[in-house]
Amino acid sequence: MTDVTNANDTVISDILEKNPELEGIGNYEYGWADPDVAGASARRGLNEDVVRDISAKKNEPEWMLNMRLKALKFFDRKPMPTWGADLSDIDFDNIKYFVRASEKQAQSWEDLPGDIRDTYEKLGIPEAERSRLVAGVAAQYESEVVYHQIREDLEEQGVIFMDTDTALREHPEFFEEYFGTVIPVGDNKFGALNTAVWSGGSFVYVPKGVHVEIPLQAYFRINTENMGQFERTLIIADEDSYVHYIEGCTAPIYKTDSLHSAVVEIVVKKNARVRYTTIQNWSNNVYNLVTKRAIAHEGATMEWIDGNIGSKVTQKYPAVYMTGEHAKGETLSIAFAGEGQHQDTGSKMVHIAPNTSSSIVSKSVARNGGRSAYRGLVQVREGAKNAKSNVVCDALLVDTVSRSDTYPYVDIREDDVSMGHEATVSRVSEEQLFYLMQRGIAEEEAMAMIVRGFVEPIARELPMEYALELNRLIELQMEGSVG
Amino acid sequence: MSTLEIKDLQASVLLDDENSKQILKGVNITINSGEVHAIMGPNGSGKSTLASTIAGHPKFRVDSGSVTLDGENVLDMSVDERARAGLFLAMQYPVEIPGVTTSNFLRSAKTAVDGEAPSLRTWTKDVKAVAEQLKMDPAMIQRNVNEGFSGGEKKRMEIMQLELLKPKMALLDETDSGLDVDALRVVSEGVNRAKESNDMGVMLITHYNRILRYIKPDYVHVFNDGRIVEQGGPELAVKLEEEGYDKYVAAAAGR
Amino acid sequence: MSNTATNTAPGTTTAEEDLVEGVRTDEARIAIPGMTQEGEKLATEHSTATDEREVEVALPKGAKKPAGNSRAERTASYDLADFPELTGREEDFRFTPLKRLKGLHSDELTAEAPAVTVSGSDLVRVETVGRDDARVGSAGIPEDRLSANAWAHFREATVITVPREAEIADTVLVEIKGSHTDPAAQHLIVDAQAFSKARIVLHHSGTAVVSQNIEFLVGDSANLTVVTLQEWQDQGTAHASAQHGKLGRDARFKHVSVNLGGDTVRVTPAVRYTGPGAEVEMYGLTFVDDDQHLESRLFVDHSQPNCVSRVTYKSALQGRGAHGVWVGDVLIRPEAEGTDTYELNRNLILNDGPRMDSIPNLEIETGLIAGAGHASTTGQLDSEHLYYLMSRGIPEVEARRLVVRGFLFEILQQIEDEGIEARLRDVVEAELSNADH
Repeated sequence: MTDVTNANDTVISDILEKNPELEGIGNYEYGWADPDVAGASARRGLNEDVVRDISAKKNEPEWMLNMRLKALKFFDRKPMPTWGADLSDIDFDNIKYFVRASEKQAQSWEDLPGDIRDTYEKLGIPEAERSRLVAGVAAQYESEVVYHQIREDLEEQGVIFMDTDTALREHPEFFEEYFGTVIPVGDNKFGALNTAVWSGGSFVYVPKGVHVEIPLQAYFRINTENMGQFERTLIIADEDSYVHYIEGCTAPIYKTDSLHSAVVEIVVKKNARVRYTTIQNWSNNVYNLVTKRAIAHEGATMEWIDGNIGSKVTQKYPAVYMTGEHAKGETLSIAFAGEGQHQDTGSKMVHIAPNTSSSIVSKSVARNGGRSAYRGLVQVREGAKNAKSNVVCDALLVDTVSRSDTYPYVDIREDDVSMGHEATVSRVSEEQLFYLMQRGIAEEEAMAMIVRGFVEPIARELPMEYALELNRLIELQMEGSVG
Repeated sequence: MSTLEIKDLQASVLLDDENSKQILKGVNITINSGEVHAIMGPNGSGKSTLASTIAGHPKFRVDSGSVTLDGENVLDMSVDERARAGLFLAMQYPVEIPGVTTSNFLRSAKTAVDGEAPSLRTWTKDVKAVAEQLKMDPAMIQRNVNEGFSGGEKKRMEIMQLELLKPKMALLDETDSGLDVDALRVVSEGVNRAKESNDMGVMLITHYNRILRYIKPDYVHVFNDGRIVEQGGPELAVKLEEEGYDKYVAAAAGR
Repeated sequence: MSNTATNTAPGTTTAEEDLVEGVRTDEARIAIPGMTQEGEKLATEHSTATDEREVEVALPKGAKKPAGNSRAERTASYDLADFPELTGREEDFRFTPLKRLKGLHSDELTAEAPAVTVSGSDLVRVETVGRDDARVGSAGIPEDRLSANAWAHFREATVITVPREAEIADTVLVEIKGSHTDPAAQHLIVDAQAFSKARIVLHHSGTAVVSQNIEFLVGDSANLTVVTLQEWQDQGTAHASAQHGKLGRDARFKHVSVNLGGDTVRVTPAVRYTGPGAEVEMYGLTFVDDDQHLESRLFVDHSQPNCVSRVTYKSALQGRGAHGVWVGDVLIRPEAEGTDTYELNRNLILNDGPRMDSIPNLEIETGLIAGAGHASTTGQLDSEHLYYLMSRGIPEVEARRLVVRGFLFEILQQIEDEGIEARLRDVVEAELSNADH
């Protein structure tokens, strides 16, 4: 035995040791609000005029306006979903559907209005860009992307990374071909809402054979109270390409609720691979109702890494439709449900072509009365011979007042398939805490150790700084969890 | 030289939010450094409760009496403070902690108990040496704490921690249970080494006298119905093996 | 990518065509087969999904399952009269072909039981005792009519004792050999006393129509491995075996069931705990051929704190009329805090024709558990594995065998007796080569 100590498990605690400033921040550390000039004057409520107004402000082609209006009709007609979390408190008449915070998109952080710049400095985004942890950055503030940058070498290779509004103007051909093809206009109530009032979001195109080795990063920030943020993201990975897209989200803490309802459409062409990582840390007054879906063509791989830490309610089930042979879908999902939070998350894998394979690994932690639910679907359609799917969902309950549910739907219409499903629920027991404490470890650290251990299989899939972020959030979540 | 002094200890198990049941009915025992005290008794007599109560398990409530270690009031301390004061409980049923590697756990515990992180070089060497002596698979260190360990492996892991953390007093709760002869020998040698190397005091709780062939007791206490009912030397354990606990159980029932 | 603005798929030009500035906004726009503008059809299925598809695993302390199908409520009795005549509709007999039981459930089981001979170690004691011996019925109570019928008719029991603190390295071999097809009852008891350690192999062979009760008493800290081999002649044998394990505190019990031969074989191992800290491992290997019915129904009854159970059963099935059944019931009672349990059933269908029913049942009546889970998979050979091996030049027939061997031999390794493992490997190989032509 040459190496009894594991190098990996020292890294995180060591880094925290060397960066004491990372410790001891309040329970939700992104909860500040900037002065709200733009938001204060924005209009509340939704009707055809609002939709036309948004479209006109963006000077869109008529077909897009047409699609928005069609979506509005779907939205009005569709009932509120009642199968998941309680959504009855959402007041669509009180929401501000479009807030313009800055007249013009900035190319450098210095060009941004002071308040907004300060916000992103506090969030550490410019720093990440300076230290070249990311290959491109898009920062959305309220309804629009206020800052955007991409490395020149990528641009030279033909990679397009810009906000969706600009992309629609500059590259309409992509939108004519793909927009709304993965998630149709009337897919679900909140998808329809997004299509009606969408604004901002990212557009990514990676040309054939291009590998974007360093992630592209988007950062979404809501500042206005009762804001509705409806960004729309479209990613096209052409044949044999690779891209990793990361998004983060935060908002101030208000007494009344905001709504975030995004739509993300991804097309992964033959033998391409896309990894999409989300670390969602909305404040506890945001309804986060998001539709994310990818089509994976022949030999393509789509990976969703979905971290849900914040929000009041999240309902999100990233999906992969495997339409080409040997396509692959993978989801790693992690959710923390604390006091007053309901994380209803999971994934959908739809096998349409033969020899497709999918895997879902979901971990959730519920504490202090929070509710977590895994809701997932594996569908194997007729003709998807030799499809393979494996689902593992584990839930950890930190106390006796929290709750975890599992809703694993399986729909198989083909004989020749292989399906695996595993579900476990475990609880941080008095015995585990007693054991660690009997060895001298203090209670909060013991609790954090147990939770970190539980999420470890997912944390190791995250980029280092996100793994650190996750660990730090666990520690913050655990502070005050013990009496 | 350390002394663990237990005086008239009475304690109850908390059954739920309202109900409790008295288990310890006045226990007196004093353990000095280097001494081995065997506590023997029938199942359900409360001997494991004694160890758990001293360590501060939240399931038990102290009703009266005192526990001191070198004059310090142990009952005022939290569980981790007791551990840092030098009390070690080798548990009957060590729990699994998924995702937390044994090596990370051992180092965290050592750092907590010593108040400073151990020097990486000597620590690695120490862990390796102890693992070898306990005939443990070195790969176990990289596995998660107790996860997938057999009963025997868990017991070895407890003794490994005992040797590494170097407590003043060890409370061994049914350490022999579930072990085959080979494992029992290895584990007993570990306890004897820990006792010799840092003059540790030992409270050894057991139902059977089998382990006492390997760890020689200085004193034997017979435990029944929440109290010590007879005391003696090693010869008492032999007598118990032959006669069983029936006489004590009957006496308690008649009381 | 194509820059055609209309994105018209061939043959989709219809009257509904809806072009705005040359961009489609109608149904033809959607890129995913089966999807409509109104959205994925799955979404509505979701919202109307009935509750029975939902598995709720919230575990409030002290939660009780509603009365009804709980394993805890199944009839357990020594009296045959408490078990009504079987109709085949009973939950625990719905897969069993009653006709092929040759009267084990309905007739008087008065014929001579298969012969028992014990060898391998002088340290064990072997006795033949009457029905009134205190050990008879001390580990188990019949829980179905087959077991109760055997109970009603057996005349004497064989008791094998492993004395206290005895550790036996050699395998104790118990040969159980049948020689006729008249219905019979049989009773065996293995008494492993405190701190003892032994491995006992029950080898069933020959031809028989027999219903058994086998009791395993595993004392405090005892460590008992039982391997039960069902290697009957395929023709004519009907075998029901109710095996009851009762575990003392910190006891370890490993039960390996290997089902290879016999027309209709139904093994029902059950494990109960009487003290904390005990560990059970249950393994099964079943190879089902043409027209065989091999059924395993097991039950782990967690009624004590801090006990562990691990169940791993694997089957391979081939040929017409091959029917495998695996039902794994695990019950965690309210007092069984700190329970750690996991059940795994994996089944490999080798060609067209076989049927496999796999049902894991987990009932949890306390929230304070260390962990509980189960997994079940049924499928064909992994074509990726095959492809990999074949790409290295291994012919398909051989590649198949390699993969199946890897799948099944994992269970045989649990026997930990190289002689027996080697023999069983050969038997499995022979079964496999039957499939190749």
